[in-house]
Amino acid sequence: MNTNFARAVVGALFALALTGCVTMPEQQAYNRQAHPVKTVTVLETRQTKASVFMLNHPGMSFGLIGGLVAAADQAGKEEKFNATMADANFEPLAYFRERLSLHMEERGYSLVWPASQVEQKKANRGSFGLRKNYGSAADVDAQMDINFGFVGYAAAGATNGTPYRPTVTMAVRLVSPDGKQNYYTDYFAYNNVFNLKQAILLDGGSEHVYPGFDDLHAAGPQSVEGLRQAIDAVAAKIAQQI
Amino acid sequence: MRGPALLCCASVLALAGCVTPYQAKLPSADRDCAPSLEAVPQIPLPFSTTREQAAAVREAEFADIAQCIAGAEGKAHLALYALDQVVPPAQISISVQLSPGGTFAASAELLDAQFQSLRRYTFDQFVRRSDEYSLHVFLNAGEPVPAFLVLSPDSSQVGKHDVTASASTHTTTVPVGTGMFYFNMGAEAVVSRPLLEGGRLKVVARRQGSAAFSSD
Repeated sequence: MNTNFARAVVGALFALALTGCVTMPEQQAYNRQAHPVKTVTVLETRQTKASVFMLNHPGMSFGLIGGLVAAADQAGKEEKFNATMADANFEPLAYFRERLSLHMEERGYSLVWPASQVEQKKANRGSFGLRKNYGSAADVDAQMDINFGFVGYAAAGATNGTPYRPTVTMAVRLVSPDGKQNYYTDYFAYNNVFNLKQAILLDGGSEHVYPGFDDLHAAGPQSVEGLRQAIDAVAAKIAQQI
Repeated sequence: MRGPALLCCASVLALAGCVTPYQAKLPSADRDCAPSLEAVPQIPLPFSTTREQAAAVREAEFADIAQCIAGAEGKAHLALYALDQVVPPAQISISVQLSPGGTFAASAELLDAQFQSLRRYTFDQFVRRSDEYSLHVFLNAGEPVPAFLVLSPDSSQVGKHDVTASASTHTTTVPVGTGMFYFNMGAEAVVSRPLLEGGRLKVVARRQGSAAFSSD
């Protein structure tokens, strides 16, 4: 419970960052003709856990005590949603690896994944999770740096008119094998609850939308399916951009 | 004295919602059509060598710059940009502006000097970002150099809708004693914008650049 509570507080701070208080990484479109790529090594990413977040939680208007109440409320909801995912045997990072590999292979790319998808040693990263500098990689055409910003369910507010939607944000960068050239950088948002102005936006439609957390929790495995679709859509869009 | 008064009245009218909302112009069906691409008037695409020049490029209505061409499949409308001022390595950024009054569902094609197709991009290759869809195409040294850029409606997308849910925060201020209490409430709006054969667009050609890695 303490770990979830701490994560909820961090999540609240992160939401502040996501809603425009921090500059996003500068976008770099991919010049496919100038940098033909076939084999890509995927770099280790940060540990990623699913979250449940309400952007304008009523508690946040009532100072520190209200903020702590909001964080505790969020932590409780996250615990329940993570239990639902465990029941469905679903893990976001592993599923993303599976879907990105599939979509990239469909486009003729081959991905080389690290032995551990999650970083074993903390990398020097910017505020959106992308590395500030890169080493070199042998026998590949490019290195891919990816990082989830948010994965889970998010709501814009506390009313039925601001439902929980499956939400994914992700930063992606492709660099040269020697780590010196920026081939591609962009940010993706599936269901743009956090209003990220410069992200590539994907709309999730009206399926898997829940008026309140009780509805989300009651949906059980269907809510996990919503997150599956979100992760798959982001993976497909990344592959399309490269 | 008159000028500021007129400006003030115009501002009030705009704020009061008396200004007509934007409605995308559609290409006229009555226009005389060119028999071939060679006969279509060309739009010279300037090459921006500085950020300021690129930022100064203005939007255009597709209907205002499009020409009609009569092909085997009937009439079509397109804008034909000449790229002789664009020097590789260059990047051409094409953006269409989203609006409830209509968004141009564009397709783009690069042609060589003989009007043969080099590369083609459909509307689903444009990315949705903020209040626009955009596409970047690269012209690299050492490759067959495109001579023309053709923009035309993507018929597979015309008639569809861009639907997005966007969140916002509303703050209510309540005086409490000698101080103020601020209460934030979230709101969500689902907006549907039609994809049409016309709308606002911008085409900017500039030198290729490379974004730096994060410095924060």
